[in-house]
Amino acid sequence: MSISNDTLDDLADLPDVKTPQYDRSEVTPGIVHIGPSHFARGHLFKYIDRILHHDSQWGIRAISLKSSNVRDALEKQDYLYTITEHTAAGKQRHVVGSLMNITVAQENPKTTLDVLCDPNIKLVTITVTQKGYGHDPSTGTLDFERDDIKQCLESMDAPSTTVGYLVAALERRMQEGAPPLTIMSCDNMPSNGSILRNVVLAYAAQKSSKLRRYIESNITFPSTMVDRIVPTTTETDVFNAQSAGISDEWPIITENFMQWAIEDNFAGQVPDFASVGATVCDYVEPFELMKLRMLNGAHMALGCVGGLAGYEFVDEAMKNPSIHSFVLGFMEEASGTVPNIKGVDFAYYQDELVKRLENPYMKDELVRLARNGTQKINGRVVDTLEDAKANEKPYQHIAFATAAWIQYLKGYDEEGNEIDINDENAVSSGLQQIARNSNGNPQPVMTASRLFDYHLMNDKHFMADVTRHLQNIGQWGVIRATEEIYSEPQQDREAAYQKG
Amino acid sequence: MKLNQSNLAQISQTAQIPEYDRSKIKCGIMHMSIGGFHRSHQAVYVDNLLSQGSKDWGICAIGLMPQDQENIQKLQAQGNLYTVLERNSESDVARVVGSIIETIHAPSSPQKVLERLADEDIRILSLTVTEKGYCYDNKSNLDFENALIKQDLSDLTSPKTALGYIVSGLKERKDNNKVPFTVMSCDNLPGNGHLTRKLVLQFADKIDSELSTWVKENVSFPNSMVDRITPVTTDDIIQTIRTKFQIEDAWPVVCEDYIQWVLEDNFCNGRPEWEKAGVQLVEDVDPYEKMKVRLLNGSHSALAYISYLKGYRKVDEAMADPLIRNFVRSYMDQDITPTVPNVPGINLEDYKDKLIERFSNPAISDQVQRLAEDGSQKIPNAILPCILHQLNNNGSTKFSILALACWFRYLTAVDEELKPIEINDPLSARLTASAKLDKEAPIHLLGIEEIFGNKLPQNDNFVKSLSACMHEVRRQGVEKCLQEALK
Repeated sequence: MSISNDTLDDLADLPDVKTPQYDRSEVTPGIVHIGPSHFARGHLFKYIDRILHHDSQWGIRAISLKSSNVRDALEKQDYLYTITEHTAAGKQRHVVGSLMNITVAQENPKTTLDVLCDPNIKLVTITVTQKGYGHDPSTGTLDFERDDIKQCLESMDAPSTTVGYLVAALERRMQEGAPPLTIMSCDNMPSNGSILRNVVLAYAAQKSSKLRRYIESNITFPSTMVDRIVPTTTETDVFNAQSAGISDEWPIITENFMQWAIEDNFAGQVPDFASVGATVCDYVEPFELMKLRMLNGAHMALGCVGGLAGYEFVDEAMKNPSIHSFVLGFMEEASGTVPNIKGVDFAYYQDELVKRLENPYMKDELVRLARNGTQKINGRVVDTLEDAKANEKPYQHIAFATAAWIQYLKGYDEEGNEIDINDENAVSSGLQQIARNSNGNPQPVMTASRLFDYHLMNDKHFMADVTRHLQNIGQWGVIRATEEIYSEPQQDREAAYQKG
Repeated sequence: MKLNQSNLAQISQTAQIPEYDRSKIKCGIMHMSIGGFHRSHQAVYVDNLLSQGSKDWGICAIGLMPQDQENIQKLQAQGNLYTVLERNSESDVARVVGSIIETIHAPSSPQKVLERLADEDIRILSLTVTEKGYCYDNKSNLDFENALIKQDLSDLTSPKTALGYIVSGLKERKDNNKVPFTVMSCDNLPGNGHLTRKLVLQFADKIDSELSTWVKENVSFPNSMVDRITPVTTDDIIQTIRTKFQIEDAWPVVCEDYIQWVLEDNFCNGRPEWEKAGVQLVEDVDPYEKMKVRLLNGSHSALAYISYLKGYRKVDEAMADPLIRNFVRSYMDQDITPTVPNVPGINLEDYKDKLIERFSNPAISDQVQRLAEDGSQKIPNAILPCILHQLNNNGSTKFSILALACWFRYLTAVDEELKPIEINDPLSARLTASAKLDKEAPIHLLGIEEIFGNKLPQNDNFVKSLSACMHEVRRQGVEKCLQEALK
């Protein structure tokens, strides 16, 4: 069955399919979204679909800067599409009705600006990936040297970048006396709101200081923390939808978890996000920290431990009870270093994370989680370790993850099969070679990597712990080593055994 | 000897006591909120006045915070008398101050505060509520999102904030055709009188636009610069006063012998003869305030984080470390002095020498943690304007950037020896989470608009230098960074 406004009632009769329970013809546009990516369609548009069930003024008009692919696929089906959520228990399909249309900016620059300047639009949301903001990631400021930004600044009346369109639209909104606007980045990028504010203000200042001041007083840029895994749709996914009786040109496949924390910093009216499961909070940094240390940290640890044990996929590794309980222990210790967040239960969050990792439909590869360890281990593991140590909180699992990473750096699993550690820096800096020569001693890698605090490395207990874990991994394999996380050092135990 | 009115004669053998008849003194000043600084500074000036025969300017002191109750009870148990222990390197002088005639704990009796404020004898309302007590946002506007402000705006009958009391009190005066009181801020804010006026007007306007017009036309808000280093009162101080001066005082106050008050002569309903008490009355306070806030408060904040990370907990001990002492002087000379306007009658070199001497005063031994608290409120006034000024004029920012990098390091809540740090700041939860995320580049921290505004975070060179400095502080530790900076 094809998918369109006319077939919605019939689609609702299919098993495990849910359709919008509101009248789409009543929906009016209130949001402009730039970048209708997989992620936006799987996350943001789904939340707004829920909003439309009780508030019809928040329909989405999307803008795609260059590509017409999504528009071409979806316009034939009245911009309806399906989201298939996979859980360990089965799957659920939803037809999402929040997207009203898509304008391709490159084809219709004028319409694009008209859409952005519509006085009924109170919220602009953005998912254009980290690279789409035109900023220097090391400073969070507008990168005036970047080709696309340079070009855009040279012909400001014919913008081609996100920031260029935003500023052109804001200037017109200022002239036309349009109401204040909230512009919200929904990309998975640290401090996304302040980066967006930086680039927009810096760009606007190139036009006029009046425009800059107008933006400072009338526009807000809340930061957000978003989380949901939305893989790229494959031919198989399209085929699967077809076999279930739905011919959807571009379905979205995702997990059943989704999370959205939004900084309470709105210029005017916005949808009642809290009513559809998003969290509106004073600031989102604690959410970022929680995700970084509990989810991304566990990813890193699991990537190394699972990889060493010879597993390929996350869900497979999680089926091993020893790995499972190691991951739980890691998350618990990590959560002990995250400041309390009002309304968030870390134990519940942890359960949700574990369910995500166990989900057999999200075929996440362990090598992906473990790659570029030299760049990632600092924020995800080492900082956590330091905080745990400073506050005298348990840290054995995090120390174990450190040992597992050192072992993983060698680049082969316990069967002797090669692992591509995907860490150019570790290879070129010689760290991998040091790991291979270190023979159960973590010190050389820790010193050479320059990632570990001096005091941490001077702490005899801590170093003894990491050494013990590394030796256990070498001697018994990573699985048994996880089971021995709290055991006495090897020599003591053997001495005890001999005595006994 | 227990401190109270009837024991004063005996106490006079070891300490200076009020020589005036306290029972004849009327309250003409209401003060919010009573703490160490008010008692070591304004109350001492008023005590001078009363000693010279003035009878109309006693102080009715209010405690605004719930936790003020205990101290107010202690004070009341001794007839609102207390001891000021003035210390310099040679000697300790104790003085019993009698200018506080009355004390009220506002959270327990808001009605009583309003009643007293309605009394036309009260002609001045003075304030030391610290930066955060003014509830303003990053654009220096009233923070209408502040929970307590919201509460006060919806119900002015039992206020929770200083602004709530001010507006409620002024409204009463207007509604009953009474003369208003002067609102005199004594906090370290840039243009403290101007800012207080703006916030009061914004608050009043939400209540009633006629009220704000009346305030605009009838109420004055003098600017001021206040100065006296006043550490937290510790048990040691109580003990010293007991053993050295035989005074049993439950809540004394300790301070240096230096004292200064520069005040704009702008009082709508009369004023005491401040000049007789040693106050400098001037037309324009601004240059004095810039000099003091930037040099003293800026140095205080800058040295606090560096000293803490180097392991010092006492300011005088930190200042005895040549690296820190040189840092403070270089920071003042290179990063701050170019931003300080000419101040009539003041030689800046002498002023800075004196500051170094005051910071180093071992008799005061100020707490590093006291200087380190509320950085999010102090740094935007004391340090950031100088950085902006210097960036615009190609001046040095080297030492300010190191100070900020050390503040950020401090905010991670783990020190260089892997020991936890207790962060006291109204934004501590956000600051700490941000600092933990920002160990290499300060993107989250600089994104906090209410602290950093919109200019500094967009200054590429500034952000790059700060990131590089943070990196060095983290990799090499503060000691090496100080050595580098001072080379």
